[in-house]
Amino acid sequence: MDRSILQRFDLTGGEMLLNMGPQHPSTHGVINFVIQADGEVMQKAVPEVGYLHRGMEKIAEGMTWAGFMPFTDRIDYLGAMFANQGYAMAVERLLGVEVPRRAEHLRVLACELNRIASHLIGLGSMALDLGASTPFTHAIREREAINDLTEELCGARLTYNYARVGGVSHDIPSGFDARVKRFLDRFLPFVDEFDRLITRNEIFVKRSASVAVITAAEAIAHGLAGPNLRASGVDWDLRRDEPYSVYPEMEFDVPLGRGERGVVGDCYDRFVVRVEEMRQSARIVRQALGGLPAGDIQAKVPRKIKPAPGSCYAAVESARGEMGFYVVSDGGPEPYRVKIRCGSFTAMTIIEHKSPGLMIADLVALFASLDVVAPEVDR
Amino acid sequence: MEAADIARLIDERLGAGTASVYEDLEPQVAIAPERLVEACLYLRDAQELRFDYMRCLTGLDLPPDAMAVVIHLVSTVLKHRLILRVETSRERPSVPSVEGVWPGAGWFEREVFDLLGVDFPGNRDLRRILLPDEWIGHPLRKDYRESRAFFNIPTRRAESIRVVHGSVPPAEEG
Amino acid sequence: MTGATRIGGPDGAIVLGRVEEMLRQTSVLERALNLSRKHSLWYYLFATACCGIELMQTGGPRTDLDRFGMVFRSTPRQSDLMIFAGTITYKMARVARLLYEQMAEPKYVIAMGSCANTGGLFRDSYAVVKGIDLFVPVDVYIPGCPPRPEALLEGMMRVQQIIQAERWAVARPDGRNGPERSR
Repeated sequence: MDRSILQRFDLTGGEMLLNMGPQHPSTHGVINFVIQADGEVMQKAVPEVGYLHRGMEKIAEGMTWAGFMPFTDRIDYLGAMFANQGYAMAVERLLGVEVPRRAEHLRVLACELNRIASHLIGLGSMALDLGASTPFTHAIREREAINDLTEELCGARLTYNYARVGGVSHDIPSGFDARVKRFLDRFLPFVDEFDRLITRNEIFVKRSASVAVITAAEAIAHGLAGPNLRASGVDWDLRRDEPYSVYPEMEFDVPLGRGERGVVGDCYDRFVVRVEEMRQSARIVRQALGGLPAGDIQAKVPRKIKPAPGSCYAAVESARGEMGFYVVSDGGPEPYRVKIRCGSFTAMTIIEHKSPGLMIADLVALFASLDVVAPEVDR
Repeated sequence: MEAADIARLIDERLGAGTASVYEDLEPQVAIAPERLVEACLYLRDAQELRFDYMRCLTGLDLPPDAMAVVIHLVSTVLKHRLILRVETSRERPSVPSVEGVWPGAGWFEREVFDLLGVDFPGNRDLRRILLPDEWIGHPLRKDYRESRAFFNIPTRRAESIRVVHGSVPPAEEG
Repeated sequence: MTGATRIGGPDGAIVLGRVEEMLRQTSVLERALNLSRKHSLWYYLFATACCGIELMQTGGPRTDLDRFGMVFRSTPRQSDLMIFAGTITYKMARVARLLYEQMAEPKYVIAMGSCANTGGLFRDSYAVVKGIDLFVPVDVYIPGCPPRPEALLEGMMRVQQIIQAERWAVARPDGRNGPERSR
């Protein structure tokens, strides 16, 4: 804990000052909270981040344009496909390259499978943090099936490095669509079972409904993104509102928080929105696979990528919200500046705002419902 | 709405010469630092603009004599986007904070302060966010040099494998 | 040591030849003690980055670590084995060293993944420690980015081999209590 964080607190009252983290089972990754608490009720919780700051943006300035792709996997390790696609889109816009349709379908397929995998971990961890340890193992078991599918597709279980500037790296192997369909047929009953066990579980509802309500205005003002934003009732999804890739051809619904058990924008809504998003992702995977056109998987891109001087911002709707890449080129073979904008970074700013009056256990529920991963915050 | 139209609207509202268009792949609206906060309030509240969502705030190091802060905005209501650009000097970079307009900007500004050294007067909590407080220097600057050790941990590892093929420069100290 | 095989990095190497020699001479009591210790190796869930997810998956239903007696603990006070899974930055290294010192002897350290071994693909970064053996002694290094669950399991079984080869009846050269380690 750095001493300078103490200037955020009024230390005259004699309340407890606790460190929650940076190594803690319930902080998703290495994030520290400095909590000023009067017994169990907090007066203020200030997050402290930077324990996983790896300097990716500086590394990008020493790496070639195409060589930076594996680093994008490590930005959000649970949603690596989204980061790959986002960076590839930004560079493609700078170059003016058009990606073949087959590659776009494969990217969407891979991304939506990744969204399901990411939400499984997010929901499983939320249940684990609130005390239920078995749903996490169920979620991991399902995720192993997705790991097998992505391993067939691109060779890796976690850090895929699948997208390339201009397309994707591998085509689907034979028999892949049958295996994906078999997985999806097994997956939807699993989501229903998960609903029965957890989403409608009395203890879970009591722990999360009406806890840490974030209103729509607060969510927009603080820059929340993704399922967090939609759970507060804001109807904003980049796949539909700033369309990219072949999402305009896909039919899917965008779930919003409705406050069924509590108030719109509470932790329960953030949970339910993710469960519903998993179902919608399964729908999109079926469509992407069903309508897969023939063709190339990679466009013609020069060997040494040297975009003309200029800058470009491309954003994708990742599992944690908007993942944006602002790339600046000076005409050379290496990026001049890469800025990565992640959904979890803005989710952290709202915690200090919401913390007064919450109990420490509610902070755990809030933080788990925001589905933050540390590398997105720190990069 | 196009950047040129927005620049014109800002000029009509706040006085001619406040905003100009910076040509790029996606044109940006350049604003002088001293008019930034008023312009942002106008962009957020005007009925025809409604830029309620600040999606990103970042800094650029433009040696030898400039730095820029780039703000990406989007309107969830009217579904259009805008990029703002504010240029400042490199010896004493300072851009007024827009945390009062969009509270989410606070941490983005802290990051630009941490990694580039830009000052944001008006930010409630301007201190380092990603690096430890004792860190010296601002890494994203183009002329940043790494120290020899941090907290008694060396920054270079003695190579235990010697490369016999290819041309590799000898390992240098520090 | 003639005829001995060294594998691993500069610190914490496993010396295979000496392990076999020691096994021949260890008494039954020591063997029984080490057998029970190695089959209840509680590991410290110190996951910083992507390797942490593979660590969690290894504890999951498919590559089940629980069947080896390895359960995860969230506090260093209750663990025997600390697995550094993920990138360690300078800011985190101070904390990680403190956590390592809070573990009780005898304790073991695994460096999992490239980032913990040598800094990994972040070797050019200004903020990443170029390998955890710069501030903690390491027993086993597991390569991979991230290592597969099978690779992590193999690494943990190497730690089990180290534990099996320890001798309690021999005084340690440094005068401390605990089994004599091959490092």
